[in-house]
Amino acid sequence: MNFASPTFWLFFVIVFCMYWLIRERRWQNALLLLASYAFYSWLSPWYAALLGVSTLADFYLARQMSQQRKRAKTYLALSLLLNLCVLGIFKYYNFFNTQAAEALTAAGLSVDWFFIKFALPAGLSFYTLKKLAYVIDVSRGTLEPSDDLPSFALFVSFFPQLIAGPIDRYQKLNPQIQRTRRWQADFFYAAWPLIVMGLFKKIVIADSIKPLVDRVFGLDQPSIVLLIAGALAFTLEILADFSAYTDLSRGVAQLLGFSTSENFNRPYLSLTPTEFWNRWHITLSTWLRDYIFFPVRRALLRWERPLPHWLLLSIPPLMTMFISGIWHGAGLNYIVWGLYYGILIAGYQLLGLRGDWKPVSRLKSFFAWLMMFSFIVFGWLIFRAPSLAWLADAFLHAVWADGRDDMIVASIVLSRTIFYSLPLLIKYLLDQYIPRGVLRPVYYAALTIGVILYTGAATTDFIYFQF
Amino acid sequence: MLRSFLRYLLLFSILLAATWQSIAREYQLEFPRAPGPRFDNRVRRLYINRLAEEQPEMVMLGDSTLLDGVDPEKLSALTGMEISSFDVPGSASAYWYLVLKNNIVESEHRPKYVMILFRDTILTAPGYRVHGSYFVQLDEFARRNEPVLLERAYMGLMNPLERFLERYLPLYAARVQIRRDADALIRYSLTAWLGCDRACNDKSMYEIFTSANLEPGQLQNAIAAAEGYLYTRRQLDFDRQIDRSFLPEMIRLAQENDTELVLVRLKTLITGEQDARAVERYIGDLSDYLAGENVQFLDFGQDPRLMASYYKDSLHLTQEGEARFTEILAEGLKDEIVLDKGAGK
Repeated sequence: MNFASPTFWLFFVIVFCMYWLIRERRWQNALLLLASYAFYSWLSPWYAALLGVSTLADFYLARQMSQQRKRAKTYLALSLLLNLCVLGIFKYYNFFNTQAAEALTAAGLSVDWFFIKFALPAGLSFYTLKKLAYVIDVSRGTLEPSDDLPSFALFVSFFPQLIAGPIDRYQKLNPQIQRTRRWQADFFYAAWPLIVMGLFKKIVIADSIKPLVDRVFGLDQPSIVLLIAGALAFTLEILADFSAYTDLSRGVAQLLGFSTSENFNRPYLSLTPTEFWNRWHITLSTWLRDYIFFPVRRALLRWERPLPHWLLLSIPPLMTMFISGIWHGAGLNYIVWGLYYGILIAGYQLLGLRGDWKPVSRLKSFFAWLMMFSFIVFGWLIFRAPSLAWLADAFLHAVWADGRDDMIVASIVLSRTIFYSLPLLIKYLLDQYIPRGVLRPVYYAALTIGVILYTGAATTDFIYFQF
Repeated sequence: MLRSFLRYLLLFSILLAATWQSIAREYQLEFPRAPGPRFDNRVRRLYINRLAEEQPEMVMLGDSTLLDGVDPEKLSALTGMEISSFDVPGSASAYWYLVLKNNIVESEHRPKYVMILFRDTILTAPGYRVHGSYFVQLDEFARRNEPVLLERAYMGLMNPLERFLERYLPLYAARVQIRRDADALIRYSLTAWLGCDRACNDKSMYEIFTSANLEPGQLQNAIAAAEGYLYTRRQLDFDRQIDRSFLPEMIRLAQENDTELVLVRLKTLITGEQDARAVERYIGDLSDYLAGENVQFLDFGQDPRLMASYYKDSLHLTQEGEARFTEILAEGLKDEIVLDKGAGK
């Protein structure tokens, strides 16, 4: 049941009507909690059971931390161990056991049991980060633990955010959970553009680009020109897909009276890698900044022997982005993709180009953007490649273009990418230059026509579900 | 806020009204209309001609797994019967139903046996491979009036809202053609500047993305994704699906026209352990149903003689596999089907 499916909207209409008919906050929360678990159980009841047990554990551990401050670190360690073990088992077991089993089989050992596979519960990485932020903040003493289990459980399982974020903090969601909510027309006015935009980006843009991207990345040895065209197409697909999910998630939350965080702020206009991560998957970036980057940097600054400046600038982004890579998935290409951004951020910072850097002239800005955009596209190439070996093979052995057919197919991929990126470009121009007036409603009306036209073409799951 | 939304609503209504007129005119549609796609009235006589030319006693129907899985000449030699293979990559039960109904049954030479080689739930999955380019394939063998095809492959799978929109909203009803035209515009415009017309364009796509160029792991993933439709809970529910499928019609058509239907289940390497149990339950139900309808059924789905090394991917056999399976199939036909009926040697 994804946000672009008719089943979800049927489910949502039922929840929406019941929710606003109930005027009592406690019952509204109870309904949302029930709906969230029903939504998750739709995927698998086992996922919901896992979510429930891990929520109970963290609720209890956080309370213990607050009540027994001396043993807070022990409880924090327990919570970290529990969450990271669950994440590790479900997310990385399949990867490591395949590697280990291949090695053992090569050594002539029978390892049938090794091949047992676990399915990754959708959204596990997202709600784990939500809970970790909560327990870390409680252990630091910057947050009072919740004494209201249903509210805490709703914070963790809130269905608009459950599968792929945004990763909102307890400090942002809980006050809204505790607040009395009455229907206001403003909720709808804020929600409908997000929902129309989200559906358009998913159904029209992402799902139209996906088949060609899959084909290019399914080739045994694509030429360089095809690889570039495929990477550009994926650059559009992943932005449209993931930002569509966020728009729909925010729109749905808004209809329930909740304001949730933005996740994207024109990331492809960034001039530096730091700026890119300030604009891409913002709630993950801020999570990584607050719970990995800053603590690592503080620890390095407090080190007994002062570290050289270049190490101080390099280690925190490298560690942070390495963890970001691991979080995104089990596979060497995710780790390399994370490290790639770590190196880029460190490199830019060593050159004095921080996140807020702006060149003085327009020409310089253009070249800075072009360079950063190329880095971004190359990053997505690493991310989307079926394996690192495949990518290395492509770069080491592939030719620029293997005949005219390659050029023709690359043109097809590019023309489709350009065509489907136009609505996003128009949106940018509208936001930038004509924020008011009749053109905006015209734009959304045209998007709605597009959604009707592309309905039922091939709605697939959102890419970020797998993380 | 309210004004912005009202403007949007008004403009959307205007655009919708405009499309109502222009689309109905452009695609020559009348509204309200019956839901579902429109077939033209032309039916290819491909198999009628082949039947007249080859005069087979048995015809095999199937998709690419038949093409790669059975050598018809070798099978003819081994069974002593004249056998023709009507193997069409990308075909499925809707296509086989149309070929049986509009070609085989209408042919002057009717084969004694029609053998359909299928895998797992494909015979009771009427909505499998009926949209997009598969629709074009179906249209070649469909008449304008195909109520069974329309109901089972299309309308039966629509919810009430979809039916309503199909009936009254031109934008929705014509969306497949509009998308196809838009895609052609996008796809062919830029390449036209490179001096490449439609045919050259399509040839390039075929040359680059032919399965021989695909990375084996990715090919497996693509197959698994496409075949996933056959292993959903709904498709594995035989009792729910049987009366919504083309199978009862195919049995009726064969029986009314003195042609014996033989169903052969092929082995695949696609199902996981959980799927396998559900598939075997489904096959048990199918087997009981076919026995009740006096339809011959050969099941090679679990045949240990078809080893994994005979497969080039999870569905298709290698040349060695094809040779071996042809022998296995011939044995099966002689032992369990043909000789029982006294039609073979």
